[in-house]
Amino acid sequence: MTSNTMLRWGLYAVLVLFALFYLMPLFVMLTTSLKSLEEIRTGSLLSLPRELTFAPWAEAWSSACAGTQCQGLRPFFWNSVLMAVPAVAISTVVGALNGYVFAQWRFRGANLFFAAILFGCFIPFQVVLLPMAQMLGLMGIAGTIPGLIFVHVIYGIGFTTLFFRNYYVTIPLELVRAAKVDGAGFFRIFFAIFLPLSLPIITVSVIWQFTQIWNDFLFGVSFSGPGSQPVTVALNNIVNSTTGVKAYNVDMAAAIIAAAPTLLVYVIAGKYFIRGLTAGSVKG
Amino acid sequence: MPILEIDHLQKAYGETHILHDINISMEPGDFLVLVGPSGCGKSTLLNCIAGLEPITGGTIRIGGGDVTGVSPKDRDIAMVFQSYALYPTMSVARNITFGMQVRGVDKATQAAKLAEVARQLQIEPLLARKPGQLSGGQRQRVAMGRALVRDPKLFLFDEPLSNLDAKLRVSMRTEIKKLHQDLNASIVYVTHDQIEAMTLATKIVVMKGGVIQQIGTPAEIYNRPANMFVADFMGSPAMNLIPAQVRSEGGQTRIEIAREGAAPLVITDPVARELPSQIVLGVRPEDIHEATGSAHLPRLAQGAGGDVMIEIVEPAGADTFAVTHLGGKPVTARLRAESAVRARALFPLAFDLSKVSYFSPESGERLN
Repeated sequence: MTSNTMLRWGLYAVLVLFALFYLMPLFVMLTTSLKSLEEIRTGSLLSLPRELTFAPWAEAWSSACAGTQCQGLRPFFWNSVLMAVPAVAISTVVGALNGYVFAQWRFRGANLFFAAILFGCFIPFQVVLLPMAQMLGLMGIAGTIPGLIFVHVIYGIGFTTLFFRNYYVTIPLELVRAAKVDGAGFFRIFFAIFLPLSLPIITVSVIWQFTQIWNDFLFGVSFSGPGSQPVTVALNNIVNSTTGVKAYNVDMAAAIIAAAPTLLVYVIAGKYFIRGLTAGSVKG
Repeated sequence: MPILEIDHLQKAYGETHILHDINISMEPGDFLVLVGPSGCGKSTLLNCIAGLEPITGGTIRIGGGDVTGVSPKDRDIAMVFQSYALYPTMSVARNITFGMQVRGVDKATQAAKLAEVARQLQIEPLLARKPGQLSGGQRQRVAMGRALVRDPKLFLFDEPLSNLDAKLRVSMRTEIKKLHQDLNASIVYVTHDQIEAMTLATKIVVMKGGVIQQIGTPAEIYNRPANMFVADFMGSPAMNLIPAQVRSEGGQTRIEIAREGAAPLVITDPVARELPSQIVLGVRPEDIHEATGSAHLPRLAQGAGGDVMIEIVEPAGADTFAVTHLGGKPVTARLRAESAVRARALFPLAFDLSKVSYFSPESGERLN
């Protein structure tokens, strides 16, 4: 065996080790969620379930108690869907239009505007909590799902604008000029020429925004009402509402349910994500 | 009525002036070529004509109507871009019909025009393909098809051949010329290639530093360049520009050219001229001949020691180029292919004085 192949095996060993390290919590969550409480008490953390049970999943989904309410995660999961889908869609569309303007329709002060929008990416969430609460109150959408959508759209625009702008900058200026001579206007050029080219960057924007919005806890806990809590807030409430024995299996099942959509989105569209992130670096 | 009239056009970005007082008038059916080195403003001028760049001053009229503040789509122009700028996600057919579609032309007319242009450019088999599946020459044809299908008042070409390989460029050049003759179209064409300018144009505009140097037919530009820049830029190999002294003797103009290690060459212009004492003599390589002793082509160095020393001989198939040194500058003569000229030997040369240009060494302007 040459030193080169030795090195290669060493490399793989390290990679496998880290992969296992990262997968361990998921493994523990999954096995724990499939064990009965009795088995969790007596068995070891890492052992496989002796007897598979899906009861904790059913309970987490439809009957686990958060405080006095015992409806499981289900209503909150749908709250999250109702919040995340429009928020992702709106912020992506607005980001695409912004990016299109910044990349191809330069105007006086464009750099200043772009810098200001970028600045929005770096403002910590905590700073805006109070003014945002006031704002939502004034607009009459405090404690509602539209309120949460509004907050997430505003917060997402900085990132989506950046994504689309950097992607559209690589599209040659002559393409827009040709379309202008052909008679197409601002929106016509966007829909007929830019949008069909945008699949990779739309994927990036959707994955990024969906992950951010679905996983968000701070805005969810601050700006939601009793009927509009997203799944992350509900998960927290379920885990923290104990009646005697702590139901680890239900908590684990609930956590997996809450995390599943983001995982799913990444698995389905992940390869486009990598492609889209690197697309800007290669000139076509 | 001129198809294109540009009147005192100015273009500046802030303090930087790109185009200075541009005045051009172009008749219908003209093939107007804007030529100059890179950075001379020719592409900017084309974009101003297209309405893609706002202008700082002056007016532009297309087909008699003032279009100075009009958007590109309402100028009745079509443009072919250097990068072709084909819409990457659309098929060739949709690329060509996109403009008509935007303008709401009915489907039947679109199909008929598409078929006509496709036949004209021989791109029928390509109509269903995407631009990414085409070669450079095919993309070029599609880009032209997109312009032709519109049947506009004015065609604008922005260095359309510069991305093609040398052989394809020559054949496409011929095709563009043929297209111009067949359609009798009015074309404004930008290039940095003076051969393209000479072969295609009915009218050439030579530009440098945002200023027009000369406007004229290819023959005028070539035979009577307005200044030393035009003389040097147009023609390959370039016109020889030889510093010389002028002495008037007995109603004759005698021109002396310094030589290294020999007495100055003296030639006599049979026409009496008012020339300053210092000039630059411009003579095209093909206007320097092998001296035969005839009256029409007198020996270069009459009574002044004879022939010139040839430094380099470059056979080029149809011609043989011989390089010598006169007035401190290398001077190239284009001789017959079978010429007996040898390097590092004396050889008798003669200037065709009916075709020389005289320039002022200070201003560079033409004097005769």
